Amino acid sequence: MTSPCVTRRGFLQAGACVGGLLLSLRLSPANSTGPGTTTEAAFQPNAFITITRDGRVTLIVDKAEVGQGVYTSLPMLLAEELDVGLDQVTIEPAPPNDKLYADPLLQFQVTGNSTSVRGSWDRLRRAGATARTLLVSAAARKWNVDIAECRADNGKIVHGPTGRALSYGTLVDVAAGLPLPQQVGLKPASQFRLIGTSPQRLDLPGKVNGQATYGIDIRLPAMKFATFMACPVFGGSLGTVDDRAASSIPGVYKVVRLPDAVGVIADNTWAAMQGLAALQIEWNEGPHRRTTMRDIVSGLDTASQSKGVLAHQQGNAAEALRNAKTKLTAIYQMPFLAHAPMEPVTCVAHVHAGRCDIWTATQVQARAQAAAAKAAGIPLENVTIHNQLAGGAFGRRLEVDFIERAVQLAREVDMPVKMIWSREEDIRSDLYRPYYYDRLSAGLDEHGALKAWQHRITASSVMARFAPPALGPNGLDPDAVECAAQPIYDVPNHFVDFVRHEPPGIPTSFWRGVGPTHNVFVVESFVDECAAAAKRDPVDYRRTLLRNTPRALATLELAAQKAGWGNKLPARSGRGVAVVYVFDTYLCVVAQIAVSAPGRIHLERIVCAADCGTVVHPDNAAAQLEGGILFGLSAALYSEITVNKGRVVESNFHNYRTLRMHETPRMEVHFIPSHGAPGGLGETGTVGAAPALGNAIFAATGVRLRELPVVRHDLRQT
Amino acid sequence: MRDPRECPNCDGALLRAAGRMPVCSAICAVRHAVCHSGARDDGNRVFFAELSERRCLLDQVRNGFDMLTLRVNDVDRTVEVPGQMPLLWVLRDVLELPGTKYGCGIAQCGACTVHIDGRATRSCVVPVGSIGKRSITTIEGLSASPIGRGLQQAWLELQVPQCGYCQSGQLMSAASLLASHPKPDDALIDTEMSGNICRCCTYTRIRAAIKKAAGS
Repeated sequence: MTSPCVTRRGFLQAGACVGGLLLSLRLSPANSTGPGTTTEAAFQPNAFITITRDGRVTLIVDKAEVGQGVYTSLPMLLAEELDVGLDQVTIEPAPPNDKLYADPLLQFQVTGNSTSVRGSWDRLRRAGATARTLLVSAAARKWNVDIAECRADNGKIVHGPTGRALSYGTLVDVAAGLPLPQQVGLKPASQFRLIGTSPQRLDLPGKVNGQATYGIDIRLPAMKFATFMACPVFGGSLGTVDDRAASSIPGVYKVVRLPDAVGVIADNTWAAMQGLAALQIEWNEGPHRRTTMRDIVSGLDTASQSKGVLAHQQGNAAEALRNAKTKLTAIYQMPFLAHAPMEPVTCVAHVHAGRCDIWTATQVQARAQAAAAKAAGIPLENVTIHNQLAGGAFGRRLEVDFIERAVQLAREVDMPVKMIWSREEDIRSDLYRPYYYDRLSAGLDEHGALKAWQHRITASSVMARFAPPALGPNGLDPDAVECAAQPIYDVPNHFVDFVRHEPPGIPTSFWRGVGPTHNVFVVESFVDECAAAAKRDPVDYRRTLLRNTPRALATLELAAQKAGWGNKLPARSGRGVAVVYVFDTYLCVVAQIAVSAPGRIHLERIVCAADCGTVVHPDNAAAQLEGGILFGLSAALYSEITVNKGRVVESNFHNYRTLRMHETPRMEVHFIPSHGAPGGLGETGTVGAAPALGNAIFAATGVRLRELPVVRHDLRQT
Repeated sequence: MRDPRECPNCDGALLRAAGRMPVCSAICAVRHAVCHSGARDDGNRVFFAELSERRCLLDQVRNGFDMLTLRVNDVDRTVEVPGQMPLLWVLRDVLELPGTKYGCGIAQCGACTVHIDGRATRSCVVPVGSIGKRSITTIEGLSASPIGRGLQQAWLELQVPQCGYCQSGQLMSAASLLASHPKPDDALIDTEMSGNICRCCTYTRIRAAIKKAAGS
């Protein structure tokens, strides 16, 4: 990777850099005062482009490629305005830098919350347009003609009247000396050549021939291989270790004792795993050694009986509830979940001569750098992060615990160390999607109309650990209540509050779809309960509630029509619907299922309709919804992490089940045409999956599932 | 009920190697009983998988190093490793062929799938000493066959991979399927591909790409 040579002042500066044109982007947030303002506070730099004399365009991608396709969709935004083909663009992963590469929506360097395309939409197109404008000016100057007679065309500037052309590479030296344009024009949608098309993803060839390099594939000279095990009981520590048997295993190099964990460094991964298994370890199991799920759930139940922090209020829900003709109450529960990306936790660390190099896949490059620096006891600037393709992430790589662990092992030896966790360790030492405990009440009038809604969410606060400044007044966790506190439905009296309750010792974290994956399941299931109580069709009931949300209504109508909503199905078959507004995208999912006599769910068909504004890469956008929905269905059907005696019970894919090929339904994705700003798609499908499934199960069997996963429940025909 | 020699998990290799590894033999007996019972539900595999966790793995390996010559992607490669070392780690750590991936270590996810004599096999549970002269093909060698090239092309055209980590194993399983059944229907694809997990859930595109490659 070339080193970034980005200047820190000025809105947008161009200068000679490694023999080419470098644009260091300090593009303004949408509400800033615009070009020309140069204060540090007002402008956040966020990307840079290099065009070399051979015409090569390099884009530093600040986002991690975790499978969502940013190594293609983000270059498309740049190439569109720069007027180059995707084959002329080279991608480099961004180095850690929270100032240069802060996500414009989240304010730090992160790949998460489905912000990649929607956050980059404006700034990368402006980046391309600025470079193009400079190149046009440079060509006009070289030819001594009017700028208006020149235009960019696929890596060249063309002089219209004469047909002369100069490639970008030949113009970079002149362009680098030009003053920056005060304003640049962006193409109207009618002139898009790339946006809205589906070129082959740039990362695919290596992913079908084994050549793609993930963090786990890094190989360095003299590198050792390590594996790791933390105290299996949350909050416990290491007692004694007898490593005599382990040390006699061929290839075992060193046993590392940490305060709450052990690691084994060896000549290959297998020897390390054998060495770990051969250790005789006594753990000090600590205060949580007797904790069970019963304790955890009962703690949440008790906490949920106290008043929480206000998250949303409209009208007077308590009074409206008292006056309601029909009242419904329910408790919903969602389990702890592990991330379990296909590539287990892996990190290569080399601590040497006061420096530290890290090769891993992280969603938070700057946090990774800080974690490594702290663990190595060296200054931040002495740590280099080499970000790699991720074999899945789903939120796991927002955490930097494993980077600290790798450094803790690597600092014990002179050579680089590749630490790989076994799948068992990956699942048992994860940070988990919180267990959520929700109390709901609803009040209907004599026509069945929804007049009152109360929702109390009780759970741990991920944000309180991850980013305390993001907490709202009185400690409100905006993630924990997202989509519950921003209702899309028109209910006149609405009250939502949040009770923070931390389960004993169990670390919690973000999981694909974050707070909304939980809240939308609860809200969409309970709205379905209201529709049933009102004896109304679930789609028709939502239609009324969405009268003031036309974009949501449009996705509902389209999905219902495409799914054949209302067409008769056999007994014990059913359709369920869920409507979502999250990450600036509207989505409706209709699930069609059949439940066999012994109670097995057969997913028959999934139809979804999305309004996500402009669809940058339709094929990849559809893939994100297909995969995201199935990921959500997989968890809803099978997945839960349980705790017994203070330790996680599940360990591998045999007891932490995931969806497989033979369980996969037919899928259809429909987009509502739009030229609006893009919405997020990486997590949106996951959010809509579980409620559509739960509502379909109700339609098929009459059984309302208020606890996930589905496999907990007996759905046998009676 | 399938013939144990057609086991998609270990190709019977564990059974053949059992004489050298008493504990492995016990694991293998359970594995085959479960794998070939026709049961779909992976919950039935709990007993085997629990057995194969760390405690049991320890008992498998006590021997020293063996000098072995392996036929990998049509090239003879000599390695000096314990015979019980799973083929997966020999490929990745010793032969530096990292396209074959580690996902679970207990033949539950299929990320480590390679071909042994053309048959899809989970390399994470195959002791390298059990392979003998049989021919190993990894993802790095897949394009040597017309079936492999056809699948890779279909994978690209339908833009199957997302994170891509499991796709080596998916492609190797698919290639084995097409070699024995050139025109598989959905039911056969479901059966033969159900041992390969994709956490990005690219299943619908995998299914479509197999059919495209098969021309069906």
